[in-house]
Amino acid sequence: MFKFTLGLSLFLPLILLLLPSQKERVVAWVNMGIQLLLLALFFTMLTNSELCEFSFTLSESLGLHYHLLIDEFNKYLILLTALIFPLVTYASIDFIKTEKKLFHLMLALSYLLIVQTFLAQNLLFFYAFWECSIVPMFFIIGIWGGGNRLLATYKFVLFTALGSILMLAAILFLVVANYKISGVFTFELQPLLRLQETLPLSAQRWAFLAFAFAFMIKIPVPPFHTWLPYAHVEAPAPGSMLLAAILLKMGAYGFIKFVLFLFPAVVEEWRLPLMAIFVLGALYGSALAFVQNDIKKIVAYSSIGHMGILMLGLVTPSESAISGAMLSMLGHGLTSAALFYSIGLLYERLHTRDLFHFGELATTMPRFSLLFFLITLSAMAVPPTLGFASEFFIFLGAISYSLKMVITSNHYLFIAVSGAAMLTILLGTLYSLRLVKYLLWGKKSEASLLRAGVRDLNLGECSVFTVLLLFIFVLGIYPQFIIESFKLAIKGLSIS
Amino acid sequence: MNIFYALLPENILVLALLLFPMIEVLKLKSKALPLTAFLLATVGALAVLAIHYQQALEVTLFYGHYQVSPNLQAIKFLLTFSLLPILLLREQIFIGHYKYYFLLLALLYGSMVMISSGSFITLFVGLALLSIPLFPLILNGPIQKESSESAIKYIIIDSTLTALFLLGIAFIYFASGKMDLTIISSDNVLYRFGCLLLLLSLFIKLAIVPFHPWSPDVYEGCDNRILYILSVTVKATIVFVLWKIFANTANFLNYPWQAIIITLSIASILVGNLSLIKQTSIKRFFAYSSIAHMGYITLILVVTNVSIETIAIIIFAYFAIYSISMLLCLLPLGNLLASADQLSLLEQFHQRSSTRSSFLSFGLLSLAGIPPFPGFWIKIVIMGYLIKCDYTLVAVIAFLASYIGIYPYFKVMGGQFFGAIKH
Repeated sequence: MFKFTLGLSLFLPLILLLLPSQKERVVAWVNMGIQLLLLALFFTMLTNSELCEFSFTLSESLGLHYHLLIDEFNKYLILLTALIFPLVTYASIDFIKTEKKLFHLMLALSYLLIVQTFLAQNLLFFYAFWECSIVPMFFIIGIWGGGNRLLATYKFVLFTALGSILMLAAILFLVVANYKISGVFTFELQPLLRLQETLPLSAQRWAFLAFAFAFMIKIPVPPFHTWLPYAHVEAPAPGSMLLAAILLKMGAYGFIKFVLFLFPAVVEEWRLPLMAIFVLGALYGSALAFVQNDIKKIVAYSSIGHMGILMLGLVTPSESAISGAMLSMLGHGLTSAALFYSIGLLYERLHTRDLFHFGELATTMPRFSLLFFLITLSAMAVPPTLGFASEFFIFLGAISYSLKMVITSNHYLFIAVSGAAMLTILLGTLYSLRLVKYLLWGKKSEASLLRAGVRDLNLGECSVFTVLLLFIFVLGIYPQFIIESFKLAIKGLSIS
Repeated sequence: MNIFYALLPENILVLALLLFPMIEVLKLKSKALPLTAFLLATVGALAVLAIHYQQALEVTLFYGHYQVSPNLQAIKFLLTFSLLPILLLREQIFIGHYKYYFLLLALLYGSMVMISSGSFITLFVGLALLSIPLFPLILNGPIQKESSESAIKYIIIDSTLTALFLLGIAFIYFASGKMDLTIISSDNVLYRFGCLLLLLSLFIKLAIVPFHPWSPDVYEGCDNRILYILSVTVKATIVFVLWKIFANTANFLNYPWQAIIITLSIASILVGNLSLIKQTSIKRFFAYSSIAHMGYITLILVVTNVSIETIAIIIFAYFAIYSISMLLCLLPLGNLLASADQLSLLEQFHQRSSTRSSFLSFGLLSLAGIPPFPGFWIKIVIMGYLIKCDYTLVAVIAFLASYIGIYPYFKVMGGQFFGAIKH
């Protein structure tokens, strides 16, 4: 079944390619239908908890195996991808006006590449899919983007490619180092994990920097974040959903799967500076989100804030913090997808993204307002949403670790960093409430008066929100089973 | 071993070369005749080369001046094969014209002599045979004024480098008293100077930085078939000759050539990729792309801890992949280059022809080295061998330099779909 599912995702672009390009509706529904089928397949596969592994040896001497595996780390991200993609496809039916077939082709391609990136257990294949997933996004922003899309596309490509090229150099370095030490030339992740004991620490530091740089650009962590606001603002709404919900998670996933497992000693050594960078980045992103007037930029910068907290969780050596971070990947994926979807809906109706051009949507679009408010609750980390659950676990881990550092080694800097991180919740509440206030209740401006007859959400649009909200609340109330499964998985990491 | 049999691929070419003037003398007007003769000659040569390879034919002819071995036959096979795709590259000029095929076969004969050469004399003869047919070939470009300028530039540069090459040989002969490629190294200053001249003259032919400025000018006047030959067949021959010299003279590497090669290769990758950014002409774009790509392949020459066969295989694969990528770029362009040569012509190419623009995109992505296209895998192999040979820093710099190339290739590719960036 695993092979069948992968094969289906592999053939999805080809199937779409063969459909006639005049029948745009057919292309869209076929795309969505197959994606829903894939969701069902992935869901049954993961609930059966069977071993999903596929390995095909390309070259034994070069250690090139096309090795895919579903493990505890990519399990939920695969489900998130499978869940978000049909919604993105559904959104694109309304939002994309030109070259519809090409758009669906690009969606199918990025589906394929993202799933393969998450599943790849061979470093070279991981890199190949990671790098190649730039290409569909380049086209999505470039062809269907806004007015300033060229700058956005090239910024996106150049930033991401710079990181990945350094990562590739580091991958080759690790492989050759492993060859020199053990005499085995392999790109497989599993044998390379032993390098953490054999490779000298100075070499590990360089490789760590290259890997971390690649992932920090993708996450993104300031000061490597400047591509993100451009890309988000210029991308069409489905593209933004995809970017925020899944592509950013690729960075965080890479960080846990490769950086934390390959270089635990370096992470241990540089824990404080790493935590400080992530917390500063989160504060910076949240503070910038507070002063933006473009609603898409508010959400884009808030992503930087949330991802910063997520990364804080990942580098904190505590079970609850890491599992909180994994939970936060799901939480942020669902929430930001919903937020970008609602911004797309607003832009579709009112053709503006300026915060002050809206107002009193609560009376003109009551259904939208209710759903949007519920989503913002999750962004604000209010219980019982998933946003709250994930950030609660992160802070629980971070604070308890910091307190332990105070007690055992009289180290006060950790508690300062974790305390500063708590400020992001405050900032998050501020910018979210500002957004809600001006959007839903703000003073009815002259411009907004003209839009009294704006159409409220229809059934399809409501159902997109409903699906996302359902997961946000269900997982927010009962995150335990995900936390438990992560706790088993991170046993491999040496956590004190 | 029969000399005729060992030289059969070359002999077939000579036979065809003799046949072509007969067509002119007998005034045979058939349009298909030159093409048939060309195809018969190349396919015949390919078949014989394959048989030689199968038989593992290994002989030395003419007192060591000429070598035939399975490896060399395989290389010749690649070079011959790389000529064939030009039949697919359509342009109005030359179709059915016997001179065109005559010159191509002469060029191929030159490159075969170069590959098989066992001494500097044969090498020099081969170099001359390779260079001279290119002059009329370039001269017959699409735009008369530009192509004559290109041809003159080409012949001047080529005669200069041939002179340098000859001077290098003379110095080496003076110092060592030998002409064959298995020279004994000596610490003589003249000997070293001769080697340096030899290396640099071949680098001029490869258009390695800083000897590159002639190549975009020459490319600009060519039609796209000659562009393809200049960047694939000719350059592959020169790289294989470099490989031959390096492989045969183990002591060659004791001198600081490695430092020279590394510096110049990195410089070509950097300059080639940086110059790509501001190009407005398609042919100049491919010229700079070719400069950058030659930088990668010359880097493999400094790798010493693997067998020479491995290096030959890498060069072989590199040129096979490079020619495929070039073809993916050139074939969809079709007649576009015959009329004008502006990159802006490619804007909105997707709306005009979506299939052709998709193939062009694949070619550009492969040249840029984006996975999963073949251009990426071969670069990985080169970088892997460099790191294995402890040139980690060189490999990292080459990687970062190839990063610069991503922007222009994506710019051209994106331009087909959504217009170019406005400066």
